[in-house]
Amino acid sequence: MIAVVPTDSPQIREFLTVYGPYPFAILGDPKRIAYKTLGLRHVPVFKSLKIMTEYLLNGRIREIFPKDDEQMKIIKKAMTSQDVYQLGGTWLIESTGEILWQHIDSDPKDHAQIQEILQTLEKDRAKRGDHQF
Amino acid sequence: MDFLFESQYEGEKVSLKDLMNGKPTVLVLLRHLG
Repeated sequence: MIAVVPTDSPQIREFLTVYGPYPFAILGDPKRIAYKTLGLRHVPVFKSLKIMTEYLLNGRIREIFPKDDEQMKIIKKAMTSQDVYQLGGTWLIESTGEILWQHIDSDPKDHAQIQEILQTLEKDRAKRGDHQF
Repeated sequence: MDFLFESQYEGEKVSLKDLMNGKPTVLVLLRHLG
């Protein structure tokens, strides 16, 4: 698995120092070339404000802003230097480069479901042999 | 399909193809850091 974030090396290093390590690579795409090429979307401003308001009203603000000072510093920097309206996505890519499956997030709460990814992997394994992801 | 990404080390770029190293891969593009 490879995780990509829309930022540069220094921010990734700072993030990993505070939150890491992770058992997969975290890489940066500061110019968002992959994001644009793969057709990722942006959340409309009004929808983003609505979601933030819901978090505030439901006492869930700590899910966005951590209590820990070092973590908070990282989050603040990310929020002020990255496009907060950018949305993400997930791809399963075959060794040949063929895209087996994809999920383009439609809003900040919408993400690829792990169960669906695993089912797609199982189907592909059964069809092609015993590749390991 | 290939892309060049930055690693945590300044100046180091890695290509998706090299990272995949001939293996199937789950690629996740996150909306932001943190």
